[in-house]
Amino acid sequence: MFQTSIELLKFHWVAYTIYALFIVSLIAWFGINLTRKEKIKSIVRIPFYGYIGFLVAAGVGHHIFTYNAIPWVEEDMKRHEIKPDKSFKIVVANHKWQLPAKPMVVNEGDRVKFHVTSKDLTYGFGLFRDDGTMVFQMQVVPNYDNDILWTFNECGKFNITSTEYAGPAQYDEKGNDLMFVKHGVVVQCKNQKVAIK
Amino acid sequence: MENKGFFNTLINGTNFDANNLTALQKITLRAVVMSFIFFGLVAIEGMIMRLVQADAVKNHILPQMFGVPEHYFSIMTVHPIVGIFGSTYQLVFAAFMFLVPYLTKKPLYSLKLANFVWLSITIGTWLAWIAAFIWHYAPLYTLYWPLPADVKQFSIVGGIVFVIGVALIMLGTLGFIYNIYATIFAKTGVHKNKTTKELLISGFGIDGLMNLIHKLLGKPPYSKEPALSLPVVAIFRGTVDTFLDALVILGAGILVLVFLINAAAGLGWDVHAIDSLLYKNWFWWGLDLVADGLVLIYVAGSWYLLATIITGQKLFMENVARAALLLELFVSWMVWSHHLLADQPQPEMMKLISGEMVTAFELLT
Repeated sequence: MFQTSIELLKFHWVAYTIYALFIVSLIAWFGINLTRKEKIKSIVRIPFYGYIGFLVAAGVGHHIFTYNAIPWVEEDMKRHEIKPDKSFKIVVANHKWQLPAKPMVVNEGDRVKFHVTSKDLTYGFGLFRDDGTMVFQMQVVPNYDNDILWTFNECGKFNITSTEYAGPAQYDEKGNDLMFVKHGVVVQCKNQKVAIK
Repeated sequence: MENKGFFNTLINGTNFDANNLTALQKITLRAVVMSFIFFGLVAIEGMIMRLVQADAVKNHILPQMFGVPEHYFSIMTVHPIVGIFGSTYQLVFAAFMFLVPYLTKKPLYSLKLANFVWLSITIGTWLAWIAAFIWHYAPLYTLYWPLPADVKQFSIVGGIVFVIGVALIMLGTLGFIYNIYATIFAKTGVHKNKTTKELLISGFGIDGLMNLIHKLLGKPPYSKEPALSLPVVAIFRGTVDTFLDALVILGAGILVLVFLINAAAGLGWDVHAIDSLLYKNWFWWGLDLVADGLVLIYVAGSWYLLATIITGQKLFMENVARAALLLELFVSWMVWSHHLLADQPQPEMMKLISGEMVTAFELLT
């Protein structure tokens, strides 16, 4: 249903706005009735508790029923059973990445597994587009194999940085992010190659 | 003359005689004054951090020191400590130590303990702030292990002062909790003939739940006159989570302190002896109680009180409100995993049940 995080965010923006309006309408309905001598006669009788039940069911159900509509969720749950097209092992220590290749090159549509291990602190491993929007991220807790399986449904060059605060040593005196890797991952488009510097 | 009149009014008030205040009123106002001072501090800190984000240092509007990462993140670390504990906790605790005796018509258990509470939180907050401002101790409020014990990045002295500060805040918090429990469960005044069991059943909202069940079964009400009023139930109920939260934060502080003292002594214990994921679960379990277990409940309790005072009526659906306070107690203990959805070694079922389903279910409570 959704191919990228951008598409998912757009859907959530609409879905949650509608849901919030339903909740606001409940409070408005209650508030308007409170200020009137006679209750408003609605065209369709909506039972108060029924409406509350609907809101609860919609809120919880949204999570349950859309769980597998997001492709990377199912992949993530079953990632130990899925054979990836490519796999990269990354180590992080002293606020420095040890990348297996720079850039890590994959093809559009590839299922790629990233194994990230921290030797000291808790970091994050995040992939970002050039406009700053996030493709994915995970936490990197020390002494664990932190792995994420990702199918690249979009091609281009993506930047890597830590998404978890691991102390001020991640930044230089001017505030520049020392863990930022420009175009650390390159995804080759199906129809045309992305230039690699 | 106008200025003199203004400042005279500002300092002495218009119709205010401090000598006529009761001891409890004085303690309450002391805590409120300290709370507002801390509120002013966090307001300034918040504006400084926003200005840094808006390139105020690069444009020479703010001094260079505010843009240095060590300084910036130390402000960010202590900002929630001052805001949540120094200001909000103190304001809420002062209000409830005044309100519970007023609502239960029983004296506060201990005025000395109440004085200890505001003093301990005030001194503790200042110590934490000093540790950040002078020694740049900056592990953020998340305190992810082993960052708070990382002596490569942080001064050991700064860390120790910070932990002592937070420990004092938590001791003050435990003092508040004890004072509230001892006041609510004191068998004096209107509760002279009540048993501890009756007060506990009412305090946890079990009587509200039983009344609902009895109504469904067509039986007469379990309790027509609950032992405790609904706002007092909410205060007690919120205090249960405040207690658990204080234990977890105090425990984390002691753990950090042990490793910092160890580093100072040059013993070289390996910080990775502590499992970082287990620590993260334990810490978030406790910390999340602040948001889900106590803030919501304290606000609900305050508005249950205000709604009845403003309208002069009994609260609508009071039994549901009492039962919801009980249900939310258990729910608040099971939602922490939503902070670990991006932790891949976290078991999937924990992410699904605690992180997604129970968290979404909170809408009901």
